Amino acid sequence: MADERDDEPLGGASRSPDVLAAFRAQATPALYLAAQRFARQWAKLPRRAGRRVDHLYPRELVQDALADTWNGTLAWDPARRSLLDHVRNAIRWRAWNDARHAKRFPHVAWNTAANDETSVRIEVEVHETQASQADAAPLILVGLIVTLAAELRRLAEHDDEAQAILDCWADSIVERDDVMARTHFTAAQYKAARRRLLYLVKHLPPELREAASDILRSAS
Amino acid sequence: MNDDWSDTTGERAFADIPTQEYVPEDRGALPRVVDLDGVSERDVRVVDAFFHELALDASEDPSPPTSEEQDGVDAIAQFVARLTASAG
Repeated sequence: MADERDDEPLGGASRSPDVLAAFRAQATPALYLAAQRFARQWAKLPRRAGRRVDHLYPRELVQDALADTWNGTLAWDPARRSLLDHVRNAIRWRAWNDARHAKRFPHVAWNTAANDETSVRIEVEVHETQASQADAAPLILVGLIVTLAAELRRLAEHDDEAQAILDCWADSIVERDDVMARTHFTAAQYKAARRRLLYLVKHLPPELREAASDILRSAS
Repeated sequence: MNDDWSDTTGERAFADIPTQEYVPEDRGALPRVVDLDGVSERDVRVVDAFFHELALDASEDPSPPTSEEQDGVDAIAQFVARLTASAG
C-alpha cells in the first residue's frame, strides 16, 4: 500500500506554485474522510469484477490520486474544480480501470503475500490467471454492467421520474442542474426520485444485491 | 504512475499497466470499458452514474468517522505530510 513507503521521498512536484498552494489549502482531514468514503463505494466495482480488493485498497485509491496530483501526473486546475472533486474523478477512473483489468491482473495484498506458503500459492495463482486469461475479455465486468443496467431499468419501469433520471444518465446528463433542466423536475422532485432510484438496489436479484448491499447503507 | 517501489510479493502484479490512465475533466466522459465487446455506451453510463451517485452520498455523509475511518484519515494525512514536505 502506498502508506507503507515510509522511507521514500514522495514528492517531485512539477506544478505551479499556485496549484501547490491550492493543494495544501484543500488537503484536509475532512477531504481525506470524504474521499475515503467515496473510494470505499467505488472499490466495490473492481471487487465485483473479480479483482482481489483488501481493506486498504480504498485508502490506496485516495493516496494515489493525491500523489499523482501533487506530482503533476494528473492535471488539476483549481480554478475549474475543487481538489475533492478532482480526487473523486481520479478514483472513479481508477476503479473502472482496475475493474477492466481485474481478471488479468489480480490484486494481491503485500502483507498477505508475505506469508511464505501463501505467497507461493498466490504467486502461482497469479501466473496461472495471467496465462489463462491474458487475452480474455473481462466477462464478469461485462456481465455486471449489462445485468445491472437492465435490472435498474426494469425496476424503474413503473416510476416515471426515476426512469427519467436513468434516461438522463444514459445520455450522459448526470449533474443535478442538467438533469433538472431536461426533466423539468423541481429540486424536491429530483431529490426524491434520485433517492428512490438509489434504493432500487434493495430489489436487485441476489447476486447483484450482494454487490450493492454495502452501498445501500450509504444511501439510507 | 510509477510503481517501481513494488516488492516481489506480487502486490503490484498489475504494475505493468498504467494504474492512472487519462482522467478527463469532463464528468460525463465515458470509462474505457465502452470498448469491451457486449457493452453499450448507454449501459456503461447508467452503471457509472449509479455507482457515482451512491459514492457521492457516502462521500457527503456528515457523520463523524468511525475508528477505522479515522485510522485511514490519519494515515492519509501522514502520507500527504511527507508528500508535500518534499517540494514547494
